[in-house]
Amino acid sequence: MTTSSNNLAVMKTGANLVLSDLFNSIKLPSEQQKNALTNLLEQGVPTLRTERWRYTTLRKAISNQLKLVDTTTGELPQHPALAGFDAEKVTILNGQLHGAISITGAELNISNDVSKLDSHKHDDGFIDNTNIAFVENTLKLDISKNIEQLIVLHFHHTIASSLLANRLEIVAARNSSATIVVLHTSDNDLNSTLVPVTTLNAGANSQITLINVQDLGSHTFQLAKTHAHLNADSLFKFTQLEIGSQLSRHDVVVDVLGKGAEFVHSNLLHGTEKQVLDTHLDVYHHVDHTQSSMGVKAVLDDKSRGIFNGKIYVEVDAQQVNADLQNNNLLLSKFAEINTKPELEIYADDVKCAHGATVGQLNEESLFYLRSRGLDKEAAEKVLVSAFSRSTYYGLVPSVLEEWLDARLGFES
Amino acid sequence: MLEIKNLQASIENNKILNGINLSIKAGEVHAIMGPNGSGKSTLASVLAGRTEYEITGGSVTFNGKDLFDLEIEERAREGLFLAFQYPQEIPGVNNVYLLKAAVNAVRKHRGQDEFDAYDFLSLVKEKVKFMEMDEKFLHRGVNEGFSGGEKKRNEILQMLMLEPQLAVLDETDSGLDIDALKVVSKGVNAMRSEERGILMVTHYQRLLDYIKPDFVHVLVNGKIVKSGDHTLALELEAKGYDWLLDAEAA
Repeated sequence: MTTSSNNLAVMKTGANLVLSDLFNSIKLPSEQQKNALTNLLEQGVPTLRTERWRYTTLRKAISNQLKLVDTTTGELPQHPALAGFDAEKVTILNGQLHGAISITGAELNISNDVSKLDSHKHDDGFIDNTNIAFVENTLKLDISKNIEQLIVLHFHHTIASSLLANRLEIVAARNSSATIVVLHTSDNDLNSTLVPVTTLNAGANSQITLINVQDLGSHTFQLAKTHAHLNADSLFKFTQLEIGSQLSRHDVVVDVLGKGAEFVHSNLLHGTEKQVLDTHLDVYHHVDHTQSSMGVKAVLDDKSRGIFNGKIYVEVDAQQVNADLQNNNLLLSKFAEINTKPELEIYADDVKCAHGATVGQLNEESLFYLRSRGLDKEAAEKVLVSAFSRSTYYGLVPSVLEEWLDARLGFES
Repeated sequence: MLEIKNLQASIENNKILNGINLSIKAGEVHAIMGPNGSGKSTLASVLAGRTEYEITGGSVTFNGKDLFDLEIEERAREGLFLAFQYPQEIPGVNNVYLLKAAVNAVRKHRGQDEFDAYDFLSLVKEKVKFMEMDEKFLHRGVNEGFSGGEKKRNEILQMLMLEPQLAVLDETDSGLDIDALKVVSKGVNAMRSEERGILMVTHYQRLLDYIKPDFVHVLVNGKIVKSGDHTLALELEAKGYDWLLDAEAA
C-alpha cells in the first residue's frame, strides 16, 4: 500500500529514528505510550514542508544526542520569580515532584495514566503524541472549590542533552475557581528538549486563571502545548509569557464547548539574540453565545524570530459568538523577523469576529515627545518597549510577578 | 536668551522658513501670529528639534549655545520646552512616571539631586490642582483618551513641573473652549518671570486677551513681516492678514 510505504519513508528520516530509538530505552512502556509512538511515527516528525511548521525547524531540537532522564538528582532551584510569592509552591525537578499542596479544594497527585481531552481530534498532533509517548509521571491537579490562594508549580530541568515530557492535567470542578502560576526554567546552558503539555477541563461556571511563564535557559528547546475544554459559563484566562529558551514552540488549543463560556488570552513573545518563539493558537467556538478575546504581542530584538499563527473557528450553529484576535509586533532590530497569520474561519452567520495584525518599529512621534521632555533616546525607547510589553501582563498576573517580569525584562518600575 | 538669525528651513525641498530673525530676552513674552501655512508651527518644530525639517541656512543660539548642535533631549535639559499643538498619546506610559523621569532628567543635568518620591508627588499634586485637573489623570497613560482640552492642560502641567527657561507654545489655544483657555492661560501667566522667556505661536488673537505679550510678530510666507507691541494683535483682529499679505506681495 502506498500509505505504508510513505510511512516507511518518513520513518527513515533522522528525527523519527531519534524518537523511536529513544522510545526503545523506556523499560516498560504502557499501551498508551506505544500507541502514541505509533501515531507519532505514522504522522512523522514535522519538517519545514509541514504547513504548520514551515518557519520552525526541529532539526536541532530533536538531535541524536538526546537521551531520556534516568536520574532524579539535581538541586532544588529557588527561582527569583518565586521569591516574593506567598503561595503554595511545588517544584517538579527533572520530572520528579517535590513538595505538596495543602490547600483545601486543590489536590495534586501523580499518575501513570494519561487522560486525553479526546475530542475533535485536537490532541493528536506531534507535540501531543511526543508528550504521551515519553511522559513518565502525569501531574493531576484537581480544583474542587473556590481557591483564593495562588497555586505555583515550578518545572525546572538540569539534565543535559535530555528529552523530558512533563504533563499537567487540570480538572476544575463545577463552580470552582483558582489562579495557577506555572513556571518553566532550566539551567542556562542546558541543551535539552522539553515537551510539556498542560490540559484543562474547565467545569461549568468555573473560573481558571493560568499564567504560564517560560523562562528556560538560552540553549533549551521547548515544544509545548496547552489545551483547554471550556464548559458552559466557564471563564479561562490564559496569560502566556515566552521569555527564555533557544526555541519555544507553543500550541494553544481551546475548545469552547458550553454556552456562556469565555476565553481570554494574553501572550508575550519576547525575543533576543537568535531565539525562535513560535505560538500557534487555535480557538474553536463549537456552540453559540460564547466569547474569546486574544491579544498576542511580540517584541523582537537582535536576530530573533517570532512566529504567530492564530485562528478563530466558528462552527455552523455557533451563533452570537463574539471573538477578537489581535497580534501586534514590535521589531527592534533590522535583523529581527516576525511571521504572522491571524485567521478567521466562520460557518455561522450571526457572529461578531475581528482579527488583525500590525508590525512596526517604535512610534517616531512618541519617541520625539519623550525626548522633548528630556529623556534620552535610549531611555525613551525603553519606556515605549516596556509599555508595549507590559500590556500583556500588567493587571493580569500577581503584582510580585509583575515586579519580577519588569526586572527580568529590564524595565524600570 | 534665544537668538534666531536668518533661519531658513525646508521640508521635502519646500522652503517653509525664509529667513527669520528674532531675539527673545529673559523676561519677555513674544507672540507669533500668522495665517495658515505661514510657517508658525514649523518654527516651533525646528526649535524643538524635529528631524523631518532640513535647516538650509541661518543660525539659532540658545543661551549662547548653537541649538542645532544639541540633541532633542539636550535642548529640553538646557531649558527649552515645547508645548505641542497635538500632544502625543502614549498608552501604557504612566503620566506621573513621565513627569518624574522628565523632571529628574532636567535636574540631573543642572547638577541637582533627583526628587524624592514624596516631595515629587506633593509638588505634582499642587500643580495638578492649580491646573484644575483631576488627580486620576496622573495615573492614566500619557494623554491616553484625554480630550483636546485635557491634553493642552497636561502640556502646561508638564511645563510647570519642568520650569523651562524658554517655553514655546505651539497653538496651545486652538481647540480650547473659553474655560480651558482661562486655565491654560493661568498656567502660562504663572510661568512669567524675569528669568524666563515665552514664545507663543497662535492663529487667534483671543489667547492674547489672557496672556498679554510684550511683542507681537506677524509671520507671512516664512518671514516676519511686521513686529509691534500687543496693539498689533488688535489691529490684526480688526483688519485680518490680507493687508500684510498685500504689502508683502508689493
